[in-house]
Amino acid sequence: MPPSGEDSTGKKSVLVQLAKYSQLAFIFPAATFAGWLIGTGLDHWLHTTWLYLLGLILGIVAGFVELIRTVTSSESK
Amino acid sequence: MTGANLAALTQNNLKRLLAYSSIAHVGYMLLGLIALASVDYPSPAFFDGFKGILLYLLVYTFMNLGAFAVVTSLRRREVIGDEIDDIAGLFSRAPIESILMLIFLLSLAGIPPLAGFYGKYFIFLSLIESGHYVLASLGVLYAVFGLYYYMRIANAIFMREAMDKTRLPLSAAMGFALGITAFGTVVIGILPEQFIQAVNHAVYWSLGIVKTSPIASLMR
Repeated sequence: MPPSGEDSTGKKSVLVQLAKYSQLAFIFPAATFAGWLIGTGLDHWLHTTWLYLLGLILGIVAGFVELIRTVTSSESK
Repeated sequence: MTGANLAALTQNNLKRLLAYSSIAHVGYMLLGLIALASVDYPSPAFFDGFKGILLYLLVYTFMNLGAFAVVTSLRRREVIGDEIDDIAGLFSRAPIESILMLIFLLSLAGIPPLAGFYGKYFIFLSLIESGHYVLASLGVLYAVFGLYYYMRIANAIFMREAMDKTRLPLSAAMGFALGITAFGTVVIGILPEQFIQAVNHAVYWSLGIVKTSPIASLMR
């Protein structure tokens, strides 16, 4: 039985490949949005006004690091 | 945005170019956040900034999924590698995918009447309404940079000669996927009113101004 996500010819399924490529487009916006959302949630919960900015910055940094890792790892394969 | 645009401008690698351009697109969304965070609630700049971010997220999904679907489809059939040179003359081999790719690229660059234009429009509008004229000017300048590097891809597809002239048939599944993303990209651009109203509703709902969720209002 072929590994998960691969068809009988050993090629990755089109959805797996599309997910792998579109990850490059969505990883940075998703991380930035998630960071902002978590920061805003913490601001509401803790009654602060600056955690959204911290969350945003952490999201941007995490997204950037992950984007570069994804680009370099997909090229080395 | 400056770093991402400079990195994308010098790229010959298609995947990297699209990946770096995603950083520039997040930059536009953050410009909307700057506009809404710098004015008092409620004001036109606040609503337009919020609306711009949500609309940008919506259209970004369609146009980027479409662009990456074209790349995936070509990579899957081992037509192209990672370089822009690999797609030279693609129009003579796969005209439908080439035209769809052009639509996605023009939308990513923010050219009217495609969906990407409206995302940028509300972001720039909110920046002007909140008095950030320098940021608005920089945003427009970077949109020109974006147009240049996206058109490098289109130039390779349409203006250059293909090494291999074999026609590439499009599978039904990929045609369907590309059709949906292209439909979203074109329809939001040509008939934006319905989508802008839905985004307005989402903004009001998330601010607690209306009680019915955007999905519930769409189902009615």
